[in-house]
Amino acid sequence: MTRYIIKRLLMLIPVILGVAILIFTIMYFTPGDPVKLIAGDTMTAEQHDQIAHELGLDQPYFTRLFKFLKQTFIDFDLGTSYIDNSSVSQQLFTRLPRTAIIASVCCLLQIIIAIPLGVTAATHQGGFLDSFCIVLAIIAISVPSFWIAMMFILLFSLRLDWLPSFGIDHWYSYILPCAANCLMGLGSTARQTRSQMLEVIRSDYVVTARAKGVPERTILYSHALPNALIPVITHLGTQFGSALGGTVVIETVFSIPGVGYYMTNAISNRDYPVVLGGVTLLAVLFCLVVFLVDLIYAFIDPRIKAQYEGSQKKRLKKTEKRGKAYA
Amino acid sequence: MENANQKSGRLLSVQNLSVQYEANNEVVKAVNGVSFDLNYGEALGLVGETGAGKTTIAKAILRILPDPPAKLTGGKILLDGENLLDVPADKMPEIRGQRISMVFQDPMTALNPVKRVGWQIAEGIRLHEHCSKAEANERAKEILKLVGISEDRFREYPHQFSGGMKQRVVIAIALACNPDLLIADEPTSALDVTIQAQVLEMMGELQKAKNSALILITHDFGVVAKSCDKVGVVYAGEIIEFGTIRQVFEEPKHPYTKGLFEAIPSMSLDVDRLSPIRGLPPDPTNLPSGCKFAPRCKYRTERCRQAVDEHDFGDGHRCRCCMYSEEHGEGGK
Amino acid sequence: MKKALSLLLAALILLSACSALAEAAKPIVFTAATTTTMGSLYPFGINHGTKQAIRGVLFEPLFWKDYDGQLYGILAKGYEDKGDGVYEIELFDYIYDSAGNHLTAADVIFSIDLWIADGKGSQNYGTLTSYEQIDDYKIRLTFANEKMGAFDKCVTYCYCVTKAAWEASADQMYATPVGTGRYVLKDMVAESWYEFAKRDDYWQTNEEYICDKNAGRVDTFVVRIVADATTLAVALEKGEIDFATKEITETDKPNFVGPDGKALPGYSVAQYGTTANAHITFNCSPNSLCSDVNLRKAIATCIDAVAIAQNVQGVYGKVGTSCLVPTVYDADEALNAEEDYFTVDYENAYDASMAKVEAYLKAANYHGETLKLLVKPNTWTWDSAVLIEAYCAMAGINIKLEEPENAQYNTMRTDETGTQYDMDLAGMSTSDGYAWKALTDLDATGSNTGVSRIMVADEKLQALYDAAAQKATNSLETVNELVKYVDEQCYFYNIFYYDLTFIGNDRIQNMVIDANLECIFSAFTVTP
Repeated sequence: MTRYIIKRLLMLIPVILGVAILIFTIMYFTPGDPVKLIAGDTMTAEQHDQIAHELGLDQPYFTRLFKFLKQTFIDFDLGTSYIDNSSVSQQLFTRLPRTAIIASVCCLLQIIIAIPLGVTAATHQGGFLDSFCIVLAIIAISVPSFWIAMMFILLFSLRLDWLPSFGIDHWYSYILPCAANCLMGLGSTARQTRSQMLEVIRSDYVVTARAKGVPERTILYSHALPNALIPVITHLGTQFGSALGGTVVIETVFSIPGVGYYMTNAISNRDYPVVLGGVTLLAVLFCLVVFLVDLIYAFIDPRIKAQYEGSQKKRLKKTEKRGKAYA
Repeated sequence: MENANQKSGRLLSVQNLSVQYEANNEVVKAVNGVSFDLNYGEALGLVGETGAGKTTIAKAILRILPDPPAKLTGGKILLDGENLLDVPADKMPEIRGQRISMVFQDPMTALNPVKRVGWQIAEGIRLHEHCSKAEANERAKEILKLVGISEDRFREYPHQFSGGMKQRVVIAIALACNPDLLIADEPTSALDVTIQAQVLEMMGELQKAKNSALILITHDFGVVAKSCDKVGVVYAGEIIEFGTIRQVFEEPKHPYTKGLFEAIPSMSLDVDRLSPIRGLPPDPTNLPSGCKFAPRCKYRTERCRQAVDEHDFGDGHRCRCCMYSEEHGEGGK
Repeated sequence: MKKALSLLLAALILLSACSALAEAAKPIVFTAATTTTMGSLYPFGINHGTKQAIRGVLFEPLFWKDYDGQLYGILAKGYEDKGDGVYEIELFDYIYDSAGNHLTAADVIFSIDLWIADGKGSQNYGTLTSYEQIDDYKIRLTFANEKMGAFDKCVTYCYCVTKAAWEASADQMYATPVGTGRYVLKDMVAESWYEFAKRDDYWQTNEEYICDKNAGRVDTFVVRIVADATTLAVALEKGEIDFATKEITETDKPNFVGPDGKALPGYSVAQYGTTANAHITFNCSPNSLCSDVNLRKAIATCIDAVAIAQNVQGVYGKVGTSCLVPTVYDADEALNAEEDYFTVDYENAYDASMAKVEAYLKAANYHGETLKLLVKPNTWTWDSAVLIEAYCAMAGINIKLEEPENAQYNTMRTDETGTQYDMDLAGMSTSDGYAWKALTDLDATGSNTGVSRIMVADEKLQALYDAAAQKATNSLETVNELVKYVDEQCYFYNIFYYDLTFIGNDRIQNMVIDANLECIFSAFTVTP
């Protein structure tokens, strides 16, 4: 298993390098000049060139690329923003926990709410509860997050005055953003859980368990659910990973200074260091999340664990054989 | 090894059991008025073609038929005098696994792939015997030994076992709580012949040792001959012939049974063609009236299309055929 | 192992939660909110937007200009115009920053050095050719080709730090600003809120030199960053903030301001005019059909500016009567162009107006070719552009709209080949009070190819422009000449303009806005 972990971690390196080069190339070729945005309307061409030179924007592609790669991966320096002179890494690391909270809470809520919802729908297939759960899930997926965010603000903040309408001053400032953000995920996870459960409930081993005399409830949660969950875990994992970089709408509506809003603004402003640094960091995080999900599979499904360890066994057998030959 | 079951006498009495499946506006009449008795220590073989309804009978006894399509439309299942069909649904789990157990056909999918084998065996023990985890594990290990699997494999997962070993594990699970009745649904169909013999032998030994009853569902006469005391021939959801092995094998009464025996290729004779029973089993959504076998029977008469009579040849050998009624007349068209 | 992993996961989530929640809640005194992001708190950054207003309470410039155009000395006691673009400025000799460092002329020079090195010197017209220290409290600034108002701009944007404080700061004053202003940064959560408190040891104790800029009427105030303008409106309505600057959108304004411009109960409102307008700049290069003045006039005539102004800005929209807006400092109060495309009356004389359009189109030899209208991405520009397209279509002129995103808009707009667009619809955010600044698009000096944004080299235009722009030659006459010519040639068509509305709740008795239309929070009169 350790061998597998090390191998996977090593494989992350070319992936992240690839992402960095790709995003650099994309930003390089995207039209739009950051210097004009920095210096404003009234600058002369001479001043424009001077600023461009200072920022290193007049150098050829490969020079800039290697400089960027060296700076990011060897010096671990993500640079400073063109627009407000802040250190990119400092900004990212200050903002990341806020986005991470929203992403984590959404993940948790999905585990707590969506999975039981899906299980209920599956066990009452065709019945009223099933239809009810499906309708709820579809509504949750279809409602646009910005609209529901505004509705929450109007209701809970303006009319009822229970919660603040923006900002991150208190722990309860996070309630509305998390609630608005997780709806779509709730719906899709519930639907997926339901379809997985429906498949698993018809399995032979469930019949065996029933024939053994295991009560229905235990069959559901102890026998069926672990098998049904594997695709759902993938889903949750990728959702969490992309939520780390992407809760832009929620962050804008609720004024949460997180990563999503920062990155989107930077892209509009062609703030290259921020975009490049941010995307690279997010790529690293996302890869780690995916890797974690793969590890979780191994803990849930022993067949996958055996697969990961497979090559190791072969190696052991070889050494055994060799040992016997000399014995 | 647990003390052998000291009970004796009538264990199971199935009376006029009928089951149908309702799906897509069609009604599939799977089981139509099946009756048989089974005593402690006896082994009954239920033979028949695929689709005859044997598995449905077995699942009906345990009440694990899939509920939306399947419906029990009549009959009684008496276990030690108590009608299982009257037992409330939430009390059935106490009976399943403890008094009646089932071994299924396909060992490859019958075990939960994410749980350890030992755990799966011990689960049943914990549930029914209400003992501690450690005790249950001990007993599970013993059962494993009993079915011929090393104790060291207690913590392994199903994917680490071969087909035959998996089937043994399934049997271990079924026998873990010393059930009075073991129903084995084609337990060796998915295994190769050598393993088949081993598994059957083991089942037989365990059955005798614990004095439990066995219902062995199969389409293989050889297996029945080896392992069972009684045999019931199932056709189109009915038991058309019933008796001891000796009775049915040496003096088959029903034309279908006769046809089955004639279809077996002989090792000694040298024949050019096999002689199967012509025709196919009837469509269960559209069963013929009267005798279900009549369309294929070379002895049929008009009477066969109207009704079918039950005949008792003594000593428990019975048969459902009009041939033996006075009204039948000579065979022919 | 399973348990260990789940514990680790839980610990990670908890850790990030704690670090985020450890940020303290803000206290409430007077709270203003804005949608611009703050970035670094150092004095030299991009100096527009509320950023500047925030920096403006921590640091001080040499001079300050109020809304009416009057200069007040802040760090400087006064200045002498020696002529030929040379100025001598005398500083106060008792300036101390909040760390106790003494500010002298050397520090001012140091600040100007940093300011120019930061690359933002172009913001202030770049005509400053040299600056030097005369003695401890006197500096000399020299301007070449001094533009009208360049001196004002330079000295009002020159925020100064002491060398000692700057070098003592580890992060270049990113989060630890130390300035001479009356306020210090008490607490903050970066990009979320900033709290400023008045300090007792402010150096300027002479009442004579206290103006609105350094009055310090508020004890503590908080500036909150709100990402979305609608959330701003909700927060103001709810009472979470007291003042929302000028950023409330048109759709939300009716909650706070009546149609007559007066505040609704519970709120206070102030209107301030800017010199900015919604305008179309034409591409007059040979590559575009708009190089024909008749076509330009045709387009200008067929656009019903009154309707657009009302539709897009409601009661706050006013129709342009020349290429400049009446609030410019150095132009006539009544800038009424004689050009007929400003006097079009669609409501009462529709046919006559359309006849004029037809005449122009005929003169321009226009046969239905498609013209591309580039639209600056903004809240109201698209609405205007759609109306413009419709009006042109009614007259038989085919317009294609294009609204790229901000960065691409800038690139397309300044593309020197002149092939990217035929007309450019934009509105400047705010501009300084002088005519030449409002018409800066028409200035060709400093461009690589010798053409300005109108993509054609018009010597007469350049000559008139320089005459109006240079301080030496600026006068009412030269500005009027420039305006007349621009209107005649229809290079720059002013569609409408509007006042900015500053909205707060009724705790605010008096708002103070400066020449750049930024709020001087410290000068607000607020009931406790």
